[in-house]
Amino acid sequence: MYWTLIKAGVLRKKVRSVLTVLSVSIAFLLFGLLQAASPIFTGQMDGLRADLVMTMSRYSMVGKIPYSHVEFIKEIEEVESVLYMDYITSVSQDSMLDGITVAMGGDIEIYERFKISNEDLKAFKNLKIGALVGEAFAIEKDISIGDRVFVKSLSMNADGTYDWEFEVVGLYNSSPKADEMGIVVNYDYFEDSRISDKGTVAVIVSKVSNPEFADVISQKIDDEFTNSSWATRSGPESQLAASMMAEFGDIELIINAILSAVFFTILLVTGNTISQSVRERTTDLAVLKTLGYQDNQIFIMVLLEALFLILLGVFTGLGMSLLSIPAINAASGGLIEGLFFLTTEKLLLACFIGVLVSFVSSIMPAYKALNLKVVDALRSD
Amino acid sequence: MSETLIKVENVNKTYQRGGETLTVLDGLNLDVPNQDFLALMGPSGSGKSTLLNLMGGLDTPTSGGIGINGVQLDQMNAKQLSSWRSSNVGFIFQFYNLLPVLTADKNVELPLLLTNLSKSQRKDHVLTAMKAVGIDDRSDHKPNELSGGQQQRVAIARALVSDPDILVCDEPTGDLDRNTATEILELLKILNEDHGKTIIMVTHDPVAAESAKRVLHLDKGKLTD
Repeated sequence: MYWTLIKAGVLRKKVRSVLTVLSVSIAFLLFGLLQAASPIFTGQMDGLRADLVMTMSRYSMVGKIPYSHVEFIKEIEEVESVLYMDYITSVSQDSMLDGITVAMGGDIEIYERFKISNEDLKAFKNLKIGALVGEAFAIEKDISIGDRVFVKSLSMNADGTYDWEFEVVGLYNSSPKADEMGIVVNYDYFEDSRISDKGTVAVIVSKVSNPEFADVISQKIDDEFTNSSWATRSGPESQLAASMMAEFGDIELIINAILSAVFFTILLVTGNTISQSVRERTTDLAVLKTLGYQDNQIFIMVLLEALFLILLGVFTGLGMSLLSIPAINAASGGLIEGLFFLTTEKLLLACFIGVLVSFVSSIMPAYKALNLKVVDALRSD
Repeated sequence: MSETLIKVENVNKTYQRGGETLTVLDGLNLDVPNQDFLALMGPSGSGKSTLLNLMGGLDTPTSGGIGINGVQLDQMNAKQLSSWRSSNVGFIFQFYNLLPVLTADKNVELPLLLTNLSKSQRKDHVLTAMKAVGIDDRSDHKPNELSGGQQQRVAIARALVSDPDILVCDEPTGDLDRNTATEILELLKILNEDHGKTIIMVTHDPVAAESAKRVLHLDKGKLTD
């Protein structure tokens, strides 16, 4: 019964219905793309682990902490292994590489996001100037194993220059792919050769025996250094990335504010459309009531009609988003793969928002239709 | 003529307009026998459409009683009236009031969507009703592809499709030319005489009223003859 009536209502003004569906679909396309991009801005990406505790300078993301912190962390009972790293900032001028060069030491294996073959890892550990290059970076720069790469850095080398030379001994993969845009070198070599910031690291990654200990251990580390000039900020990798990104600003709040404005506008647009549609069909609705349709059936019909229009827009918009995501990922050369995606939760959230917008926008027109007096409606015809 | 089908007893209908009480029907009594074809005439504002609405179960009286086939409409709530209308009364309007995006057969089918009939049963009923009014060859046409007379035939088929005892017609020929009006009136007569439908028709047209078995005049909410 309802389908015939909904079809009659929707098709009565085809252009208006199409425009309504289009406006809703554009809003949900925007929703889909912004939500897909959200992990890039919020650090809430897949694959971040709860059993890895990250420790860094409390006051600056690029700040340094002393290597002695590594020794302290190693002594904590629940910590199984420790990896530490520092960044070699490269300058593009006269530099072969403009990616990120990371000097890693300790138990590199625990950083499972970086997939390195045993053979390459062994070669890396055996050669002081050895370097592992991200596969995407290697492809972009046409770097092969055995090549020598040069980095012009802000860190002065022991020879008095800012030039650093490494030999590529292997490749690594990672997810997200963006992490492949760099090279990994031996911390010990970098530490031995640099003039400044000696005895420091940028980040310490410790693998804990149970993810449930991660918060307690993080707190323990931070408490230890809280009053020193090398205060730390620690946390599980899965949380710390988000809190670091939050320092740039609450991007998620901004995204949500934009989406709220869009949905509020859509609410007004669809509310107006449904109201106008019901107003124009006063006689039709009165005739249906005359034929024996109950008030509540007419009420439900108006709600379902709005739901149909809006869900059609929601599915179209989300469909366009889902089709766009692989295309955008491909256009980025895979760099945002693993960072640009829509979760089932987000898709369900979109459907819920659609249902909510539909209900709010149609409840008043539906109520008017419910209370429509047949005699008055037909008299005013 | 047979037993009384519709009994209107001392019906009053008043409206409040700007603090003033407007009496539209004033202590009206009327008996309509089964299979009657009654024409109601009278000047505008005389109360004939209001009386028609009351007998069709679209409205309830301020006081008094309306009994149809032993059922007291004045004691029903809106939901009960809707259910009653769907199976007991067919409505025919001056301007046809067909849903513009539905084809003729889909318009005729509308009352049947409220029933438990299967799709094929509904289709059979629709075809029967459309054949009865001679419009079955236009079943897949939309209202704007039909003439006024054809649209009114579709509207009559819609009124007939659930096989009600009573047809309530509000100026059914008011929007039609004389020849088409005559055809529609002939059709109503056939429905009354051959199919036993009780017809109550409001009209301003004396020629249309001649098709009825009885003509009653209203003025200021009272029957004058």
